[in-house]
Amino acid sequence: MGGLGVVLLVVTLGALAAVMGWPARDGAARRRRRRSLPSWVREPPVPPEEADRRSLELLRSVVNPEEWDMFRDLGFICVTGRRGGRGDGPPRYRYLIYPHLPVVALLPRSMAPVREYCVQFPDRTAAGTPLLPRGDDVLAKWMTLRADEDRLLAYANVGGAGCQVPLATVERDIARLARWEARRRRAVPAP
Amino acid sequence: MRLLRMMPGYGETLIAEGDPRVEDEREALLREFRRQLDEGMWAAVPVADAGTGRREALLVTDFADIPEDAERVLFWPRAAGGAAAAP
Repeated sequence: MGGLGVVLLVVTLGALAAVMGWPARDGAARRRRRRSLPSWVREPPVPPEEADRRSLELLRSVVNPEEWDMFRDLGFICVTGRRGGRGDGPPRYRYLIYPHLPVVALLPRSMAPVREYCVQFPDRTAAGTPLLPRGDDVLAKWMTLRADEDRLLAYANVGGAGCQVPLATVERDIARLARWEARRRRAVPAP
Repeated sequence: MRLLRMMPGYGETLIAEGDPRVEDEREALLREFRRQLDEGMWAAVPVADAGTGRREALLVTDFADIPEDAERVLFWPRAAGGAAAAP
């Protein structure tokens, strides 16, 4: 009986120590996380859904209204490059910008997919995923492509069309885009 | 003017805010602008074409390049080649 009592006492004390120690460990982990953030970060991280919502709101506020509508309806943005094939000629490529997938380059007239530009914007400032939320990823690609196409392409890994975004997906999305643009033309006749 | 950093776990987060016409505030904006670029960020100002109204982005590498009427400067990590293409 005395032995059983000692065992029960040890188990009880062990459980008590674990319970009492938990908040301290949790607090220490929180402090470590806080310490790891740079001084210019003024707020704690938000839940992934909220980060995603904020990133989409920022995207909406920066891109053109029809580009936002395209992203909302189709899940990607199609932009025309500025780089001419020869000097100041017509743009060499159009691009499909997907969140967290390579940028797909298309020939501007035939819309035939010709390349994938695999690019990410890894950020290890905060704990957790290094990937930007969806809207930020699309916006980073959009801003760099629109402002300095060569810069984005220079940093990317180049792959053949269909390497990561299946060709069937690209062709389906080009067809969806054509239908979407036709619907918009009917709804909003050109001036 | 607001300096905003796009970050995982945040969406965008405010780094600094101030009026660049006020000397103290301009200094604070300039300090944070340089700090972000020193950390390897890219920066852009959302702009609208004066003629067409089309929205565009202007990449900036110097505080002096920021248009006077800019409301926001956005920072994000520089691009890195993504996952290698599958064979």
